[in-house]
Amino acid sequence: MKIRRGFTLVLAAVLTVVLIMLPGCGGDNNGGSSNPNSGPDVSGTGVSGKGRFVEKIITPENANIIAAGRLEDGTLRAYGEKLAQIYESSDNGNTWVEKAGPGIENVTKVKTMPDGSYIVATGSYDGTVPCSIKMVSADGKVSDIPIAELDEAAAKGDTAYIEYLEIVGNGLIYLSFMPNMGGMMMADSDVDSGLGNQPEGVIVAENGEMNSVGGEDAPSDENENGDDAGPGLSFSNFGTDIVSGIYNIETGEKVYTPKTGNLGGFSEVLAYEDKIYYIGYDGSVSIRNAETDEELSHSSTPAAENMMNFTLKSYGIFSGDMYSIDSNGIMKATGNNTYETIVKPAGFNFSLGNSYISDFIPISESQFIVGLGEQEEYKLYRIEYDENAVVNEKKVIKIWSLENNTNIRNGITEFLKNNSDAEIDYEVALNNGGALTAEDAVKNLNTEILAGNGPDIIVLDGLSPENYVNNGMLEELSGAVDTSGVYEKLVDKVSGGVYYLPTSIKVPMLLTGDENLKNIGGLKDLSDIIQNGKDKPVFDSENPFSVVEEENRPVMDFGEFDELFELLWKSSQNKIIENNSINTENLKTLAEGLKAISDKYKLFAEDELTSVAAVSIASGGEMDVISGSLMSYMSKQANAGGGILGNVSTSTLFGSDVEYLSFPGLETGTFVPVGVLGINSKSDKKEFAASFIEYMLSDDKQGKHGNGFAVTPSGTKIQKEEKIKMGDDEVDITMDMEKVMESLVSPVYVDKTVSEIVKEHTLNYINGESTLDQVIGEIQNAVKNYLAERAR
Amino acid sequence: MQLKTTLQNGRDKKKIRVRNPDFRAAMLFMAPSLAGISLFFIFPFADTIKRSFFDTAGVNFVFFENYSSAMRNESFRLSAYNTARFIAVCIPLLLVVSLLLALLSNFIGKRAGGFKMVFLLSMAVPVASIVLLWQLLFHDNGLVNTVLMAAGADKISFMYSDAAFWVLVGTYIWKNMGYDMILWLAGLDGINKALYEAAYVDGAGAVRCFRYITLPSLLPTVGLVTVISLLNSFKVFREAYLVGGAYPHDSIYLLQHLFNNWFLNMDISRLCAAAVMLCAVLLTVIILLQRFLRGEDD
Repeated sequence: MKIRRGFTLVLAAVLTVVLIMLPGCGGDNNGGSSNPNSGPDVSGTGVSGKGRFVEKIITPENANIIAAGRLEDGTLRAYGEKLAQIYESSDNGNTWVEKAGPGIENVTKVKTMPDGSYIVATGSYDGTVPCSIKMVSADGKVSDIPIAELDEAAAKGDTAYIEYLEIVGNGLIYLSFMPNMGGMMMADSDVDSGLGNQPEGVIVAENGEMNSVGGEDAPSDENENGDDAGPGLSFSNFGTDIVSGIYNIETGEKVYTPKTGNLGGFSEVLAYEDKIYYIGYDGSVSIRNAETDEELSHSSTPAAENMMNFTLKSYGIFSGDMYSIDSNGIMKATGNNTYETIVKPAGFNFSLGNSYISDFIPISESQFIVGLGEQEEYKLYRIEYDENAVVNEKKVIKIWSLENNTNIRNGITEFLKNNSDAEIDYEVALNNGGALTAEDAVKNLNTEILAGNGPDIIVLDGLSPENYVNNGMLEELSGAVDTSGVYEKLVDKVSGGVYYLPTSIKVPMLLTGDENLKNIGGLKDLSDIIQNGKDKPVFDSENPFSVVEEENRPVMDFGEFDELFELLWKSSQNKIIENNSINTENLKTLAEGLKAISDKYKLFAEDELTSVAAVSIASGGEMDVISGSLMSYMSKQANAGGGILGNVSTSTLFGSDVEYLSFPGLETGTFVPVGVLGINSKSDKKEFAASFIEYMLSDDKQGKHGNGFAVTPSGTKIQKEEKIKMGDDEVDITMDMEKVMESLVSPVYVDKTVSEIVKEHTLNYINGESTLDQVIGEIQNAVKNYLAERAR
Repeated sequence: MQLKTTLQNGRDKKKIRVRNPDFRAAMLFMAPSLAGISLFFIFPFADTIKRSFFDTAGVNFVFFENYSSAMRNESFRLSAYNTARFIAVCIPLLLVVSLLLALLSNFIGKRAGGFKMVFLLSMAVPVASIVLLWQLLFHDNGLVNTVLMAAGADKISFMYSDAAFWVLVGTYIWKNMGYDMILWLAGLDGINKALYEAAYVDGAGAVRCFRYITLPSLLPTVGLVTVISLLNSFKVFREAYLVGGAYPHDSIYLLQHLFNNWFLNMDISRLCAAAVMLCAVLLTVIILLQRFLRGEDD
């Protein structure tokens, strides 16, 4: 009896230990993540006055602000447009006093000195206005700071743009500029090609080849033959040598050139007391003595997840501690190359994709001033910890996504504006190129879900939604989310139920104004027409976008094979993978089509030079890449262009006589669902999660151009009616979105495993290393197990 | 009367065990280990068995549907076949090779230190290095193919043909033979030397000694080495995965590949069913092996 009792005692002890440990492994259903924006729930009732970071808009009323700064005595200062007005606040932006400014044209940068005077850089972003450095004293007196290099550049007729201007202290400034600087502009040819005339939010990008286009002989709007270089394109030079140095404010003399070569270039320069912080592109920081340039410390690259966003990242210093701000939140450097998250980004305007962080001023450990450029308007925000802010625990949810989705990120911030007592943690698994692989990320997600510890909402992009439905991991949405406003064809039904919904779509499209090309039936037709059409024109590296006479233009053109493959795959996948097996006949047609087009346009010819410049167009959320094919069409070097589009603003680049057709792959009418949302069936906050999905489907969200092609008819209508800002002009949407929506038939959830295998093996066929039958056999073998695993 | 005596004896035995003062201490010492095993093996395995009878969400009881679905699945059948084939080829081969090495080492005697070290070194080589070595040797343009081509033979696609299976077998044996050799040596050391001396006096040769003294004496070691080798054979998945990825050539597509991929696809129920079946098969094999060896021993 005693033995049994002893054994029972031990077993009970073991079980007790196990039971105590089990909850410790789990956590609540919010991912067990602690949100630094808020403290613990103390009431246990769901609603708690626990305090959190909040955002307050503090832009002076009716003011057009261009920059902000802070004086030594704590006065916050905002600078009005053309420095016509200066606004000062002694209570961190609650109230402002307006003063008359000196009035200076073409101001690009303003930096505030501790005593109230300030340094101004003038010029223009495209380098067309000569730049200069001026000093404005506290009483408003303006004087030029003569910088010899800038004067020399101006005397030679070179353009320049001040890249960095930082006040170092002790009568010194840090200055960095690029003489002979310019950029490729895309704008309507009827208007100036300045940045202000682009569609809102256009991001101009260029690849290595484009960089080499510049030089003294770079083409302008007109080429040598006097032809128009195509609608919306103009060019200017790219400089190469950056001039930087520490200059004397009084004399403009260069005191020294900082020896920051060990950083390999830097993204930001900050000054604090007698030190200068040079922040490298990889996040490493070199702290140097401002007077002697002696390096005081050099930290290497911090954790990868905190980096990579350098173009949209800004830094500030408070009390010797360095803070950074970007779409990942506000972080504090804690030494040891790590950053501690102080403010998570969800709910704050600085995390919006269409905002640009212009100024960042930490004024205490829990108070930050942020100047944001939002759609050509500068706004000032104060982010501070509010001890009395209330958080409703029933409205604390987690959204998981494999990759960042700007549209969802923006949606969270916008949604939280109307739900001030809510918190949404947006977890991006593959954040900024960290060490985690997609496979690991999915494994982590699955483990969390199985442990009942998963996110409340799953963004299913890059996953297989059907798997999650079939395994009962997603909640049926019909009762929780009103789907009546969504295009019926976009609502996937699995076993009669709706388990996930796209929040926008992208469509593989053929753009053409050529009547003969508008009725292409499918891939075979397209391939034949391309075969019988003109060859690609010889690439002119001196004049890459010169117009080709209409009768000499090829049907289409592609910059590279990947672009062609992606387009054809997304318009063919459903016909290749049928019932968990490969349709060999269709696969053959695809491979033959790929080979025919690649051969025709010599995509693999070693000596072939092509224009593969890609431009991204965005207005907040979805970004369209104007690939080589669309670029060729746009610059009138081909009669049609193909691309995967998701932003109606893109149509402003192509004029009004273009028809937007569903791309003729193995099937026509395919579309790619984007931002596909499902609710975790184990979530205990399904109701609130559903309200977020409803917001994403609302007209507020769906009606904005930047949020991708709308998934609701009303959203499409609003987008169509909304005009696009191009500088001071407003332009109509020329894309007939309703017609595009009518043409859509079936969704494509890209199967990356199969597409990669098909691409890899098809290349062997195109390069002549294998026969078509060999390649088909290889593909069959390679995907056999993958597809068989899914069969039930 | 006889029954009463037995019961009485039983009670006496019980009493003796109760009075054993070490029992409670033994249980207490075992408690942490028991807790660990329960937490990390017994409870999860019980959960796996439970999940194998439910859908993935763990809501609906589906009887043996997951089992039959797994059995019907072509990938499961292929991977189970490959795993069984791998074990069937590797284990006997490894036992023989490592035993021969142990005997050789025993024969060399005290000067066998360097010999043993050579075979044990493979255990110290990290998997990543083995994979690199594999690629260096067996890539289409690797060392082995270079030698083959220099000798006028055709290239062999080691990674994408049935040769991949034999490369995996070779890797497994190379990696494990040193360890098994040590186990055999421990078994050989346990054999009473007087037996050999008596046999030699009786005129027995080396072969007869091996057949009638060494082999029977090593039977308990056979069980141990076999079970350890069997369990180690599942670790070869790391090499196969690192070289061939989630979907390697058919011949080295093992059960662990399938499990890994089913987990990624959230096909948890079938994964659990397959895992339970694998466990049952392994358990059966080990029990049969033990019985067989015990029978031989008796």
